[in-house]
Amino acid sequence: MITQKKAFKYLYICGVLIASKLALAGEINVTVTDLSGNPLQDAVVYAEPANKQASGSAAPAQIEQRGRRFIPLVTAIQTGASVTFPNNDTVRHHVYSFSPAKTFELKLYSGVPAAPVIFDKAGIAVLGCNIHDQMIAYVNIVDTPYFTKTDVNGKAKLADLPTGSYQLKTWHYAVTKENYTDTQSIIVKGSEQAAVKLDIQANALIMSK
Amino acid sequence: MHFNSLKQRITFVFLTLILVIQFIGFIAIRHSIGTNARASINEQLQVGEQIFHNLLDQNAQSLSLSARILASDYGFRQAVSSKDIETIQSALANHQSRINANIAMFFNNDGQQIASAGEDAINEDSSKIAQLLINARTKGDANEIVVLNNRPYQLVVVPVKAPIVIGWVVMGFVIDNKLATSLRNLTLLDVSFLIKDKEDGWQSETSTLGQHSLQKLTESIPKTLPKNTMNSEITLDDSEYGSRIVNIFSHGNQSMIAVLQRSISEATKPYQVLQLKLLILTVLGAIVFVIGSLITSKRITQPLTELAYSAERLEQGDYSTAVEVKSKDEIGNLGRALNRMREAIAIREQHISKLAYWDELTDLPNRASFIQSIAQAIAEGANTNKPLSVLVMDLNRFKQINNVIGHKAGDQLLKKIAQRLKANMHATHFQVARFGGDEFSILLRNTSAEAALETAKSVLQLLEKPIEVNDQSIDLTAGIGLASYPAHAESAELLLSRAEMAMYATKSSGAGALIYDSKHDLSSQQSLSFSSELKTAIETHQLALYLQPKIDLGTGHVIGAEALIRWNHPKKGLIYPDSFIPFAEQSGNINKISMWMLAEVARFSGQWQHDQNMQAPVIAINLSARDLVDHLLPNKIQEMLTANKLSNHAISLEITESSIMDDPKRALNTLNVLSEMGMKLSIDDFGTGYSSLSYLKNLPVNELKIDKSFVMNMENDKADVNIIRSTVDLGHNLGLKVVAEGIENQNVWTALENLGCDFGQGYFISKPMPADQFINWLESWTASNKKTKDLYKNIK
Repeated sequence: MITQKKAFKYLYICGVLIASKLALAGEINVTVTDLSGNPLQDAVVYAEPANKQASGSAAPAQIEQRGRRFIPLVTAIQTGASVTFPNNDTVRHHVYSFSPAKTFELKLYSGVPAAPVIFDKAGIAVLGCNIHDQMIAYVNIVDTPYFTKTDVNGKAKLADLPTGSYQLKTWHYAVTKENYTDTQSIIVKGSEQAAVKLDIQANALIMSK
Repeated sequence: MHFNSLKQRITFVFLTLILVIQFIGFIAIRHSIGTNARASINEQLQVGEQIFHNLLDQNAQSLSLSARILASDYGFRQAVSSKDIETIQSALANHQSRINANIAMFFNNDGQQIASAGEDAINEDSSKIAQLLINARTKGDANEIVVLNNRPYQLVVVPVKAPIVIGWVVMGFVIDNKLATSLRNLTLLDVSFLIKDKEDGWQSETSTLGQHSLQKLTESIPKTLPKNTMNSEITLDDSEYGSRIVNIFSHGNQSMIAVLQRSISEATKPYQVLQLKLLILTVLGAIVFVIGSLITSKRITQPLTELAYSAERLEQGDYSTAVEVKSKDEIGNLGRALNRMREAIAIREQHISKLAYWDELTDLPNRASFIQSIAQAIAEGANTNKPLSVLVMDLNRFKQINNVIGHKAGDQLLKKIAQRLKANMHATHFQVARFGGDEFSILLRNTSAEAALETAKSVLQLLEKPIEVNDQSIDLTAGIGLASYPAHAESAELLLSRAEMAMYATKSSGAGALIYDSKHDLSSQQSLSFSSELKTAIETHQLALYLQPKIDLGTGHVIGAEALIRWNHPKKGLIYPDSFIPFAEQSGNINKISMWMLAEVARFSGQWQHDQNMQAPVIAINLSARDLVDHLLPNKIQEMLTANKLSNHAISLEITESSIMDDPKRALNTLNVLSEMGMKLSIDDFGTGYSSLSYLKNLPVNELKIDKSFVMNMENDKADVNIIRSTVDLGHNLGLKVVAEGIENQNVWTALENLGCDFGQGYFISKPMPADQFINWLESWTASNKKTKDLYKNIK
């Protein structure tokens, strides 16, 4: 199975490389701030192309548990991606999600669970640990290969985008309106700039270490 | 306040004191109890508020804990996530019943109620729940008291996280009487929860107070509360409550408070028991005190009462019963003093009663006692039909004797008379008494008046023997009057007074002893009226001047006359001076009579001098003791003589020895002045008084008049002759002329002449005659004197 997945991965990489070489590549530099202009970290920014094409294979992700925290706090994955939950703590964790996007439960374990969790539905999943209430992680499952997270300066770069029109979507876990995703249309010709302002519940912000 | 007894007063005063002290103590204790109770109530209220808050916090924690357990339960969260309403519902019910919460509810994140357990019917207040959820969302959870359907609930809201908030669990207790009661059990405070909507008044259904008191409480809490929570006192149904208002919430239109209260009367109840005990103690103390003070005061007052009884006995005259004295204290001293007083009074009364009925001096019964004896004798006499007689004896000239020999000697004299009377009376039943002064009385039982008269005479004889006092021999004469029962009077007083009248009659007539006669009564009455009639007698010329000639015994020549007075009474006829002069002396009219005499004599002599053109015979005027003390007398005499153109030799003055004795100094002074004026002075009645010769030496006298009692008796009594002789010798040796009074016959005249007596007067020469007859008498005397003289010479 691993060899097969690896094979897909390689295919995918090759495909992207090919595609980028095939089409004229563009990029979107997105700045995400709150309403007062403060940069927002961990905002998931993704661009959905207007003409939906079957996406390639989704890259796997890993959400480790260390120091009774999920790291990273926010993970963006493409639909169908598998996520592993290595437990690097000495205590056990009971990872669960009651989110409709993906409901699962990894009952008390330590080390790496036997199987990664496949997130096969677009949406947002909120992950928690039944043992440690304060542990929280967000997984945004997007239907596009063009996604990324803002850095500490609120900057994110969607690179290697084929030119064309896109729906630029921005989501942040602390938005006031629950599960609100900012959407704006953008035509990528070259290096595009986009600024996104989000109404943030300041007290919901989790400071990442 | 008036008390009839010391006992009451002592008891009242001390009882009042103790009650006042107790009352003040009671007030003070009561006040401090009140203050302490209030202070402790205030403390209790503060503590109560804390306990109340703690209780609410505990409830909140309990609710919160339960809600949180539920909210964090994996299964519950799973159920919520999977919208498994039935499971949610049962989980809620499970937790609700586990902590006995009244309400358990679950809301989704949109604020929609998904499930509930416990009490229903709170849907209509969803707006409040919504608000509660908003608050919880802001703060993460909530713990509030919310009024739902008019019932206050303590609600706790906790989030259900998965791990983000996916819903809210609400759990709550209703704030009801159960809470109030448990709070009361903890704090002993009454707890009332009051709710106010908008501008309505306070309302309450939850309280440990009774319905009526609660109603009152809601009315007495102001709509707008003071900002600071203060303890105040609220009166509910007549009992005061220390009250503390605790704000529970006040949002929007709705407010809720808890009122913590402590009944002051309840708080002071233990003290009231104390006060009651104190009151009982006070009452018991007062009773004990009253009894004690009654006993003590009785101990004080009983002896006093007994002493008062003893004093009453003394008042009634019982001196024989001694005052009982038991104690040695002040009261005992009083009792002993009373005893001494009793004895002293008894002795003194004995003495006084003796004085009342006994004459100390002579040791004879006095008048009062004597009257009793007479009365007793009369009573006996009435039974036995036997007469009895009373003699009353008065000494003659006792006053003069007394003046001369002195009062002490006078008393000695009276004593001796008494002794003599007692010792020498021969009558069998007799009793002697002294009435004071020189008056004695003798009661003779079984004695008729006639027999009594004999006794009286023997008494007079007894007195004839001179009595020796202080080596002085005194001759006494007396007048005795007597009266008999039943002949003269039937009562003791009347008998005695009639005997006295007889005595007065004796004295004025000169007789030795007289039996009472009814005319004595009359004369004594006359005597009384004389003194008042004398005044008119002078004014209406009822008095007349009489003259008795005075002759030279050797030659028979008339050398003068003695002026005498007669009273021509319009009704009673001629009255002799003996009958009214004594009364005039007593009543003070004697001065007027003397002045009348002087004026009359001066007028007579002036007339004589004018008519005969020659000097009138020297007329002698008698002066009384009262005249001699009048220092104006010489002036008055001088005026009268001058007015009638008379020389100072026209009159001479006669004085008695006793008249000088009243006030010898002034009398001597007056006499000296008169003598210097040239008037001759005679001592009248010489020999009857007791003047000492030293007086005689100092007196400016020219003449002695021998009393007629010596002269009239000289023929029978050799002693009288000797007295006259020595008097004549004495007079002559002192350079005085001697006049004899009472010459009644030739023999006496001759004898007197032989004894060397210078002058004489008497009935043998002439009785006193009216002044206007004097000139005629003088003419006939002068003529007959020559014849007599010649005849006598011839016989000789």
